Amino acid sequence: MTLEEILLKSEKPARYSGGEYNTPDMEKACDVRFCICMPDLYEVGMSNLGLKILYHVLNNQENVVCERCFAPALDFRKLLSENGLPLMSLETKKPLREFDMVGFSVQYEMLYTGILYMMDAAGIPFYAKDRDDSYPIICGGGPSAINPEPIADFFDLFMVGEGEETIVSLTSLYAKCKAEGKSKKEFLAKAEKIEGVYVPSLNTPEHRKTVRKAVIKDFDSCFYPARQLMPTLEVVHDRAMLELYRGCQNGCRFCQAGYYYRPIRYRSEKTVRSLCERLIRETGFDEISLGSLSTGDYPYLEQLLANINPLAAKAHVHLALPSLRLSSFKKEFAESSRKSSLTFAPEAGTQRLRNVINKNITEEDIREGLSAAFDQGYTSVKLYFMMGLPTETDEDLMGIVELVRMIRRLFYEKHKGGINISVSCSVFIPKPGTPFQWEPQISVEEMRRRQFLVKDELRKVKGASFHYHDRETSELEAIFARGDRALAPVIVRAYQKGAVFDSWTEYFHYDIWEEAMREIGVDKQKYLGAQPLDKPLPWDFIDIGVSRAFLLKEREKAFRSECTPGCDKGCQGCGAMRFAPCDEVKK
Amino acid sequence: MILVLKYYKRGNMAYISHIDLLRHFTRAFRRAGFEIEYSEGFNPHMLINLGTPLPLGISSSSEYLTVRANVGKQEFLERYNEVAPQGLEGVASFAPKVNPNIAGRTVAADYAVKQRGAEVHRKEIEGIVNLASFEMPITKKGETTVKEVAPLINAIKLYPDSLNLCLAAGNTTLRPDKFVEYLADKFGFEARAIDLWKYEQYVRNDKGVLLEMDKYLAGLEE
Repeated sequence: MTLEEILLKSEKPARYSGGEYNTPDMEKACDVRFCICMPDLYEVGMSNLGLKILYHVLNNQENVVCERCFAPALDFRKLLSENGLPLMSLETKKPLREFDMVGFSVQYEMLYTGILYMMDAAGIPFYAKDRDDSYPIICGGGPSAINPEPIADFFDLFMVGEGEETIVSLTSLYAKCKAEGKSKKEFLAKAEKIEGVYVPSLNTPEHRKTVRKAVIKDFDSCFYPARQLMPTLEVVHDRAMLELYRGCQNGCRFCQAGYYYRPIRYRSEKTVRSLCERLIRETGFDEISLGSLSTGDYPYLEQLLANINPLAAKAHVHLALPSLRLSSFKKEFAESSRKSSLTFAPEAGTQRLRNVINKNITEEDIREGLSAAFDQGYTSVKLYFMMGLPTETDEDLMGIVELVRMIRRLFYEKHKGGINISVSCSVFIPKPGTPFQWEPQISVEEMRRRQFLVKDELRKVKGASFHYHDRETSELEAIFARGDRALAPVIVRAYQKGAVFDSWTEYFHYDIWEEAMREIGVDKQKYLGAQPLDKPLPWDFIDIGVSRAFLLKEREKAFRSECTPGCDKGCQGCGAMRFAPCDEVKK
Repeated sequence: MILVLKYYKRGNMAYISHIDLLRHFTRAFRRAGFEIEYSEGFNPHMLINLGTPLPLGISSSSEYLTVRANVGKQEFLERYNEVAPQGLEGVASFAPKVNPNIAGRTVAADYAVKQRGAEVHRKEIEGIVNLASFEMPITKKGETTVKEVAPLINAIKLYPDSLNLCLAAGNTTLRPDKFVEYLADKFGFEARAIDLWKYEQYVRNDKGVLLEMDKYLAGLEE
């Protein structure tokens, strides 16, 4: 069968056909052909802002053409191999093997098998040491690069931190090395000198250099693709996404993003406004999401909304404000969004535990915020919590139920009718780069006990529903999050036994993973238990800006239930300013 | 005013589903900056009426949609084409005085497909159209039933390298891809469903005669 015929036989051919609106010129003469790969389906991958930014950054280079490839669904993968076809790029249907560079965006730990799945379909050997100079340079990047060690052996290099500048330096270097006929080894030795680049083969766990994450110093003038790829089929986040700022002032102690993306750098109101105008004109999306780690904390939000609301209304474009904190919830924000459902994340049920994790909201904030929302006519509330947090007791878990009861009472003080309170509870995963990076994760049995404790109690509250994360997925994520190079063979073994799309519950089989760990001889407790403070951690060599001393200080304060004020109340000295000026301090 | 866009669906866009197609037009019209009429209610959406759905993988130079917008028909076509995705380019535009109800009025369409080796069966193939009965197996959701399709076949014409068909399309439809695959299999010639091309569609006039969509729409402009 030809590719066209295979397409028609597949479940959703538009996933693989390409030809999206705003696709850059793929025919131009170039020195470097790069393929960005996302180890997940088209619908998920095309929802990722980072992918769109880097794709257009590269295509804007005179001598670079960048294409894309997403993980094929199982049906399409089967059709490819039955017809002897390798995995190809979306744009020009070029086999992955024939690219100069292939870059995997690794969004989180559960996508590790997806990388092997794509390499396998493309006929590329998994381990970097098994690939000679005829293979593309395999690069990795994305949030998982904060601890690249579990997958380090599969990659030639990693881009740690923000990729906009690193990726351009890398392709320029590659073009130069290619013209001079340099070997892969020579290229990698030079690449390692670029800020944010980590070359696993030139470093051993015993002897390695520090890698500084890359940071965009002038975020306001940083490239953003207003003219961006338009997905051909409905994707998970089918809207334009525009970052208001990077970094976060809040310092929640469990949150990796909150520390990893520091220092705080704002886009000016003027820049955001003009980007919004261009987005409406160039994309035609009916929704623009004004994103950040905590949108309510964007200092120019009110002014921005006042300026762009009329524009958006005229074009029938909806402005979405995700990640609003309860304390930043204001009447005017609520008015500018659809009154469907309100989402807040108290994260913990009692004030004591909220202090431990430094989630600086009080019951009074919750009361005030929701009171305003109920006045606006909201009848549906979504609440996010975590369980298994350090120092958590059953009393804290019952606090979740109490909070739900309080919200229900608050609603009935003002309204009749029904209220929906949906409670979502994830499992705490100790993540590198946070003050909790040394903490243990609770066992699967303990997760089960705590989940049912809350579930049984919430069943007694009318209008409340309870959702919780899969326990075994959470455990595997914790193992990988703090993993080291000993895990690479486990990932390979699990993939060979059939593990793929582990982030999809219907495809996740924990028994495969437990078998793989047993066969390779890896003890999961090494990664799940408390990590000694006096021993080096596998990711210590990655310098994210925030200092170890600061993390340790925060950890101690956590155990004293002591809060650290937000950066807006004064600099707390986390250390991220060593990399770039922090706008919060300038303010 | 009521506007009708006649457009291509070809190349990569042949793989876009009907619902995704609607999304493409909503976005293109917003990019073009047209003042389009919206529905009322909680979640207002652009009032766009698409014609009869085209099976996935088949190309067409004869697709139609209706919108209400505040722009002249020539400007509508030009400005749309400036922001149209490749493969969904506009062919023509009409400004009918009344709602043409395209999806409801469409009764038939012309298709052509590349063929090799059908010449030897010319008589039998072209003769199908005169048969009182022509049955073919149709598989839907895994179940195969034999269906009488003779009333759904308006014309069959064989050319040296193509097979041209006029088949029922609209409220009752004979899928051209299924029909071509069946004929190719039955008579032993080469033709692939993905090479199908739809180039005309029809309404039925007062006298019960097939009338080309373009003529029907032009007639409504007066």
